[in-house]
Amino acid sequence: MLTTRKCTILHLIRSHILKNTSRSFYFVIVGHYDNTVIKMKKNNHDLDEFTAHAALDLIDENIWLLNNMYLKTMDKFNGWFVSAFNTSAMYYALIMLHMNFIILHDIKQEDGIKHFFTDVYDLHIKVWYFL
Amino acid sequence: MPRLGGRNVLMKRGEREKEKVSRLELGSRGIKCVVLSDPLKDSSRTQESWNAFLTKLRTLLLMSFTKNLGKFEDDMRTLREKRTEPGWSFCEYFMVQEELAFVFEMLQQFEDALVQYDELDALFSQYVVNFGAGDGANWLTFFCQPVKSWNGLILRKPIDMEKRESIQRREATLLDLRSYLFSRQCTLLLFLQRPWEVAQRALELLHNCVQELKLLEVSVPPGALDCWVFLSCLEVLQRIEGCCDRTQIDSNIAHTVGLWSYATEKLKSLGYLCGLVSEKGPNSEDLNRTVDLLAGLGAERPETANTAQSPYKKLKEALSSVEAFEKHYLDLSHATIEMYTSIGRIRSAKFVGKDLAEFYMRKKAPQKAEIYLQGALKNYLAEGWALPITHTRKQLAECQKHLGQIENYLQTSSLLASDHHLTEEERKHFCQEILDFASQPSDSPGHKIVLPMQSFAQLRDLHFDPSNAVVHVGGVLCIEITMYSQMPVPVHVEQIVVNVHFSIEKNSYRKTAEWLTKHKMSNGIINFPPETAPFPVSQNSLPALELYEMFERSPSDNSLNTTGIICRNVHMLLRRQESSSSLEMPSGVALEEGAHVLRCSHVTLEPGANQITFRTQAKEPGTYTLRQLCASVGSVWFVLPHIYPIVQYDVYSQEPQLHVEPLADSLLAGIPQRVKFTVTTGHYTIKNGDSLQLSNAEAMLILCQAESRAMVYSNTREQSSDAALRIQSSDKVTSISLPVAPAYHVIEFELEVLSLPSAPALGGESDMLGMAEPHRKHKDKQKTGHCMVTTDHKVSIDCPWSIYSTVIALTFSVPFRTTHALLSSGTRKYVQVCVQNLSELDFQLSDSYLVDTSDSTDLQLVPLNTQSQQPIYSKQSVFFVWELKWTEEPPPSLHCRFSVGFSPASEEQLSISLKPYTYEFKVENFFTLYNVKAEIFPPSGMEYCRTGSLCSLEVSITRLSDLLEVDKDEALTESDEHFSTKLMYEVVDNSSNWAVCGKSCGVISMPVAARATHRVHMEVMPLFAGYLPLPDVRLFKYLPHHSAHSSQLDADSWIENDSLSVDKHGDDQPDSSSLKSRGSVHSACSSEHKGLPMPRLQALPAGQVFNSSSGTQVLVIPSQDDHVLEVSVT
Repeated sequence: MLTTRKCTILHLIRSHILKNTSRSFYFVIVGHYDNTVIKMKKNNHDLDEFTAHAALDLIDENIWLLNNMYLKTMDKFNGWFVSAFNTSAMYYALIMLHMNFIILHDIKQEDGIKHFFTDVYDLHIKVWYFL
Repeated sequence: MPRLGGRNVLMKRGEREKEKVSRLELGSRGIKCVVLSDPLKDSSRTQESWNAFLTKLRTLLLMSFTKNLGKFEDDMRTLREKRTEPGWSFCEYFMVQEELAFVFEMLQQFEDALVQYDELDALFSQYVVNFGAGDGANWLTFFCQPVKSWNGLILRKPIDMEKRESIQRREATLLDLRSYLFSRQCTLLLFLQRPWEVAQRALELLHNCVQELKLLEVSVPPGALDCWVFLSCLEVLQRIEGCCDRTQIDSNIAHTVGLWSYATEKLKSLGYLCGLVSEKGPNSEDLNRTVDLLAGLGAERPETANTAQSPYKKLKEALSSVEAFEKHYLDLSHATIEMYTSIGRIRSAKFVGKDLAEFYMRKKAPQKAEIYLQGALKNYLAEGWALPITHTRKQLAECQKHLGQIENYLQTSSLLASDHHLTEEERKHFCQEILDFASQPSDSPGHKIVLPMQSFAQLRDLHFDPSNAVVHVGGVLCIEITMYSQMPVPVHVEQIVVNVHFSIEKNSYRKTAEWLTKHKMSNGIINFPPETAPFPVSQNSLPALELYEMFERSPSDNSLNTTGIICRNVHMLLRRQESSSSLEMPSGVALEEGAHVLRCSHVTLEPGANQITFRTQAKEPGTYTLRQLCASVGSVWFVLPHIYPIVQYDVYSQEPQLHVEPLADSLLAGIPQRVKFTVTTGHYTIKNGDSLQLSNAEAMLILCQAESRAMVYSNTREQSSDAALRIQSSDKVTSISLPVAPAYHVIEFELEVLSLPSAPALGGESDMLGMAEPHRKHKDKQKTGHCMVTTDHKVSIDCPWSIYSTVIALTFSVPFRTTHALLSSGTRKYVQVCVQNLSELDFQLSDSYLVDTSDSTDLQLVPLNTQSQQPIYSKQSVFFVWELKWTEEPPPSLHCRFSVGFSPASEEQLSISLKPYTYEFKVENFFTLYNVKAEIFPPSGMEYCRTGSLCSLEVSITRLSDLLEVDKDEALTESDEHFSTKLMYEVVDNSSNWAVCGKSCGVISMPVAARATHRVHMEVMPLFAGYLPLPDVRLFKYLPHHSAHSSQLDADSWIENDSLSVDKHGDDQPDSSSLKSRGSVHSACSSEHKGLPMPRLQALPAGQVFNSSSGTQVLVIPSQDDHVLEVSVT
């Protein structure tokens, strides 16, 4: 069941990204336990996942400071901008789970990233509830 | 709004003209604007005039500024609007807007000044982004010239005039523009006391610049940007440090740590670039590059020339030698890690640590690298980040190899060999490392390196054969396991061993053979949950938040004081994670050495699923638990320390047993019945010559059939053989030779047994019920249908495995129930025998006989049955009738034996002749002594009886024989050689057709002589019209009380007055008197009633009285005056 969901989300996100992005990126959905749930990349860097992982520190700090789900560009690392989106609370069977979407991108493009995150969140919710 | 600044020129002018009244004239019209009084005069008017003047002046000045700035801004905006026109220059516009910023800055309006620079920044950034998107502006090409100088930000001067001029001259590079812009922003932010924003903006700027250069495709010498970023980071940090004290800096690490980290990273890449990290030191190429980089820095600026720790000096020093680089890099790294750790950004700290580890590895200091790698790996494992895990593990493997930590290295290698994130080649490499080590001759033989099994292979499932995992002592048990090899290449494993723990559970029912074979799981397959490898194990087990609302009310007025949310399981959520369980350390797997092991040698584990079969012969009874699974490859042992879920098999020992049970629900007596013998051999082996010795029961035969065969099954019900059964019978013993069977087998065979029908008890008097018998039987049929008479036969069997005999009881049911009845017709007598089939089978009856056992020659039994063969169906009855004939005086009683041959109707010809079914009974007092005849006559003069009119009932009782033996009882009296007996008659009409008028009963003295007749006349009145049956006339023997002197009561009076009951068991009409009387012969015979001696009545046996008028009917016609005609038809 979970695998089906994962595959569907992955597929939808991939098609969405390919439609909207042409530059290199690294995208990861981080689960409630800070584990990677889904990841995909379009570049040749090896250290992306390290960067995304380190960015969780800043996300953890900022979740409590900002009211928005979209956490803007959180971190800059080695020429990467790290933007994040925190689903803060998705209630599954009364268990509060939060998820983070993290994207590493090489160009500052706040609106586009925000739009992308909102779309992914939308897809995520739909897939989760309707599958 | 701008405030009036320090420009007091007007005031000074006012002071010079203090004695005069000044007039300010504006324009040619000479309008008086303000009147000033002598300021030296201390009057209120003077004061007022000056105040008004100053206010006015301030307002006017402000108006002037606003007007001028507005105009300026308009012009600026117009200029900006023209930016799409060709020839528009950003640098020109920059100067214009910066002028505005200068004005605001002069007016101390730093915020407004900063806005101007931010706008310029945004405008430029937008142009760069657009350029990247293909929308290029001509002027931007100026900024695309190759970078030649990378001397970093200069933040110590308020205005870097050098750079400003280069912008003005349109000669500035992108870095120059950005540096100048940021230095101005920095100056203003510091004026605004916002140093932390400087740090944040700096980090953003540095990243932006790097990106912008990439976007604009500006050619930058390798390392130049790193130098620029490094210098800039340090410059910003030093500038901030210059205007903040230590405590402020310490509490705002979060803002500056990014810069530290960035500087560290850039220094690292510079070190790698300039060959300062390599083992051999920089080569000539590296040195050339270093010189080029240093040249790009230019000369140190005069403002920092005197500071000892200027960024310029630091970089130069760091690049000058390997040692200096190491020192600076380590300083920076440690500072960064410390800062990250202090603000809780552990992940970032680990990331920097990992870089540091890489540096140490390059410097051939693996012992220093290990701790950082372990730290990082632990963090990644805890959060399940697969790629970082793999990457770090790879580094750790190298580190451990250098350190010579064989065990750790092999473990890491096994983890890497099974890691699907690595390429096939890499996996094979690590696998080969293990195999190479394993194949090396060990220094100390017998030394084992124990590694966890998980990464090597996974136990997927386990299958028992026999599937219930229960095996008898000496039996063979197969355990087939599926191991999923994680290795990329086939691995030859010397042996795979399962350590088994043995436990004995004595005296427990759960361990008996019966229980085990019945209750254990049937399919015998145990699946092991797959390992969820890269998943945070420790955190996953955290419970969910348990939140509750909390209200605290004031005790006095119950108003709400405080409210909040309480987390009840905070102790569970916030408790410290156990840091001891390092996932990469050898987990201290202990190799169990047990006496019981299952072994499988020389197995090659192919990548993927492998089937491995263990075979073991069960020895001791008990429970065996599979504990550890080990696979040995040379001196390397892969161990699965605990097999979970728990896997057990049981070994049992069983005593030999014999079961005998009928094939059908119940055994029927008299016909051959099949009985199944089951011998469970248990631990006993049936040898040739072993036999069962059955001591013959008296009335049960064991029928020997030539073709009977015995089947031998294994314990799992698989047929293994069958053999002919040899049965030898002697008088006392039947010996059954058992076929040879190994232990823990089952022998089954069937034998036919025949229970001889034993003679049932004599049919008693109570069965002699005359005419009423058939009805009675019919009524009882349902009740007795299910309870056949049973006989038990006990057979003692001597088994070869025991010195004691086994006694087996077999219960046979007699399929028939037989009753008899005596029928009379005057003095002719008939015996009727009813055979009722109670069983489910149909039978064929044949050769029925009734013989007199007393052998009186005088008596003849003439059968009236015509058919010799008679079928009797299940649950049905068959009647047989014989007429009794005699010539002389009949005997008082008759002993009869009824016998009938029977055989199952469905069966073919039986091999043996069956014994007939017999029934013995006794008939007493069957000779007719009295004939009772009743007649009803209509009243005189009438042809028919009429309802309501009295009719006469004539009863004549006739003695049919002379004195017989049966007459000799108490009622017989002798006088003058004449014998007489006392009888009581009674006329009863239970159907209420007649009303008996007057006495309905009386006692008569009947002479005991043939043809003696006694007539009784009575009056009866018919109550209904129609053919009415006559009322019953009953005859009793009237026995006097023993004591002659007791007052003799008139029989009528006590019958009418009292409840003396008579034995009327011939009467089955459900009337009230019969209810009272049934079964109360005792009370009738009781001589004591209310303390008075009573005469006794005894019903004459049914055979002795013949009612010749029974069944007669009388026509009664209705009386003429009846209004209602009631007709009773019977």
